[in-house]
Amino acid sequence: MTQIYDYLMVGAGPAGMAAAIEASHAGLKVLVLDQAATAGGQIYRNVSHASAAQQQVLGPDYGLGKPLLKAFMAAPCDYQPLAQVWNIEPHAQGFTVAALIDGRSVSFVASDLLIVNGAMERPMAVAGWEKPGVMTAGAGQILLKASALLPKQVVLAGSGPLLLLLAHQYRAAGVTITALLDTTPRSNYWRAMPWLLAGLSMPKQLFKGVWLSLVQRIRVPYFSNVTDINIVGNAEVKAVRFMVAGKEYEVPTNLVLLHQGIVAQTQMAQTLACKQEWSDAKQCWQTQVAEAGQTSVPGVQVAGDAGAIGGAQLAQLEGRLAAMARVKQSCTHSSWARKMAYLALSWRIRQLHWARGLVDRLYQPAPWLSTPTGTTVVCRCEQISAAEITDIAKAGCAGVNQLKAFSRAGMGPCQGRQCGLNLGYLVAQAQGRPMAQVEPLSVRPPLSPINLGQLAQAIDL
Amino acid sequence: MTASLFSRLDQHQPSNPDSCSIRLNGIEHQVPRSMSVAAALLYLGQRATRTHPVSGQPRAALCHMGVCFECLVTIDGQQSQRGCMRPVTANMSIITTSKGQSE
Amino acid sequence: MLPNPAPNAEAYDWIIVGGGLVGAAVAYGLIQKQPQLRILVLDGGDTDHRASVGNFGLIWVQGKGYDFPAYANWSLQGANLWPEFAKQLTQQSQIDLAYQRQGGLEFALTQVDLDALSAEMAAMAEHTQGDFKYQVLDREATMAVQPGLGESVVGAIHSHQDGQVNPLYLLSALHKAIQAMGVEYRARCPVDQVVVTEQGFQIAAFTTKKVALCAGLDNQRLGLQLDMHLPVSPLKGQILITERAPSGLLNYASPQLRQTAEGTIQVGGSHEHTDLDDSTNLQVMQNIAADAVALMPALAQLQLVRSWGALRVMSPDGAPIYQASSSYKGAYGICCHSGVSLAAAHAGPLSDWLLGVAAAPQKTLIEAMNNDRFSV
Repeated sequence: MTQIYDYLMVGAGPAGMAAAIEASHAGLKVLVLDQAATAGGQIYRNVSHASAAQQQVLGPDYGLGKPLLKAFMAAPCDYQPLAQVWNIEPHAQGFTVAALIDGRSVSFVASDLLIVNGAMERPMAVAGWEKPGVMTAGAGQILLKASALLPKQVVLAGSGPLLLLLAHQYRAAGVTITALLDTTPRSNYWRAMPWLLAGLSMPKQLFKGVWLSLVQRIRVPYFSNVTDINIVGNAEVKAVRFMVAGKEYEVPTNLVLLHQGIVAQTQMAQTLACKQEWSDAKQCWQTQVAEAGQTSVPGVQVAGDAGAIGGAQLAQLEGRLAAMARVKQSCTHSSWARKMAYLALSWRIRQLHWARGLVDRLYQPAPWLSTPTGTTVVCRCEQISAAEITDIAKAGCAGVNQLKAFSRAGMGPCQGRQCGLNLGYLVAQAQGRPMAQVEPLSVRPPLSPINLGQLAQAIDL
Repeated sequence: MTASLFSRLDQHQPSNPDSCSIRLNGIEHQVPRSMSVAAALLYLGQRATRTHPVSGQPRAALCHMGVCFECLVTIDGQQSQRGCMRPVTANMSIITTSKGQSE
Repeated sequence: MLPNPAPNAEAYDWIIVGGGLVGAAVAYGLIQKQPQLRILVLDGGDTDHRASVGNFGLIWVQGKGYDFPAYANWSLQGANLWPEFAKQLTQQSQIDLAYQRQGGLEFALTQVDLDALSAEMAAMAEHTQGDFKYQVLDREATMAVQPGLGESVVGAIHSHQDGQVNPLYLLSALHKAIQAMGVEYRARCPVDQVVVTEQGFQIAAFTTKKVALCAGLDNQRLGLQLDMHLPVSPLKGQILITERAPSGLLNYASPQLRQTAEGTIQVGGSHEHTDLDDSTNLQVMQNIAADAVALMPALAQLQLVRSWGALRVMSPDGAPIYQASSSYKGAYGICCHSGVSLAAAHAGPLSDWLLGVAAAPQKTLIEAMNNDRFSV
């Protein structure tokens, strides 16, 4: 007899852990599937095993994950690490979630789902970004958290709090930062100005990111308003060329870490046909949600950075609120204390999202990065250039999905995760349409890799 | 292989008791057990980890979090595995399609 | 009393409703034969149901019309017209269609299946006066032409007249070629209504003398507006596609397995009667994968890159419907699920028929596929 869970979370980051704690203590039968070996998500990755040296470099905010992780490990819920969810579909009793675990596909059934698989970094398609020796700043942080690896020398390029935080951490650990190339357009500072007041009520972790940006300027070779980044070298990176105010510079380096903010991972919600919406402030697609993460599909909630990007603290609160709403469904009555707690939590979440307005506007991607040109590779999997994509878009194709059919862009193993946004920007530009009207790439299984042999032997529990 | 672009934060500590032995393209190496396959390759100085099927150019991991699919390697005979999503285990065999030396 | 066209409506000779493989091939045929025609192609939105982009990419003769002689002859003619069509379209569009006519194999996993297939092929050969050529291969003969097959393969039907193409590049090339020749293409123009006027037809702000409905599953609805019975319904097919495999893994095209020019392996396809639901389903995907691995065990190692469901545009007997409206002169309905196999036939003889210049035998053949065969 198949066991049916009341509540299944995909992801064990701050949102997933908080939701699992709340829901399992309230008596729901909860399962958490997570792709990583240890819980924590990207933000608290490996926090329970990190050495003292790692913790010192990563700073006190990293340690904030420890109590949450401890409470999660003690919660009366089922938790399956190293589970790669590759398919989600409706089922007579809710949903079937198929995950590859130890080389086998196993299916789980749950009446309700909470998608909490977080965000990914906004792809930064600059010339030469496909070369070995180019990674993302997020990769740099993951390597530091999970593997205690530090680069010997690095050039950091892009914009956003994570890039600046990483610069700060690397500098503290004695890494040679050859240059910090800030691509934040000057106009963003003016655009963000009206949100200064909101920013003052940001959580202090975020506020620190902004503050750090000012400090970095004097502590590392810093270039602002950088454009036209070109990463040069044959098989490997040798140098970075870039422009500042019409003047060309070149700095030698073997390693470049790129970053321009993070965007929600919407693929899981998209496979379930949850309605998507374009966020002009965050410049990405996100799943439409109601107060406690309810999507347009009954039984499916989204919380944390998998929904509207807000960072770790917000994710944790949103996870908890989502679980409280799910618990309420199963209870005939709810105490006054719980009702008040729910209201207070939802008010705090709204306030934090408002405060996020400053960061959202300050770090919007530079237009030249959203609409690459010429031979710059946009689809890394199929090696399709910006010029090829623009040519097809100009011929009047219906949108990014038809563009994908005509060009192969978005057809490779990453399934458009790295090119989808740029395809949208390029179509919007070529056809003079607003981004909100250029529908995103459709998503189809598998959500993560599975081979035909494993699929042929998929097990239905 | 070339010199690694990365080094361990705790390199000055005595040899890590948590290290394990893996085979990379048939050659044995010791790596810390907590690492992902993609991190281990970076640590060992394997800068290019596959040859791109269209361009024929060397490629390596971009994101280390499962979304770029650039770190595909053969692990214990299973082809096209994301190296960033798999922790190394004792006696694991890893084959990169690009045989390393690219200088 | 028929309404007059809006005073500032743009006037065309032809409006093609639908920019998929059927509509684009018809537009291509019309503009090539009569370059002075003013033709407008109205296409739907980016995420509409599109059989053209869910297509398997076969140019298939085997078994098509074994129980319908006109369709059998039409399919064979369509495949025979393909080499010249591909050459010309490639030249005009500068897009390599990855067209190959290396022959096709349909594998049988039981003797009963093989015998049934053999009977269908014999019927087809008879309908075509022996022009359709095929061989029944036993297991040994099948293994000789396609190594690596699994234990369960008992044999196959081989025909050198089958082939394959990249259906997406075909559509892209047709769009590029028709626009270069002066056809106007407009995406995101869903057609709600075709209004009959004194001079012809009006669709939104456009007027036209003639209209061809090539709107796939929407033809049923639009056909009624022009007094045409076009009974099409969706038949879902799920397809799997793997990562690139070394080229030459598969020597022949097949409805079960096809290796694309890029090296990926396409695995197909299910036949499910659904409504307008093109979602994938684990159980069906699992069955498709299990069949593929049974056919060729080495495929088990290949990573699945994509799966998709697409809706075939099926008539009750699976054959095309070519219909001229008897109430409204100049209105036509073109329905078929073989937009790839028949692309050359649609650009060739079918376009002649639409222009009223088809020779007698072609005219008879095409009109044998009208809707008279379905009692209303």
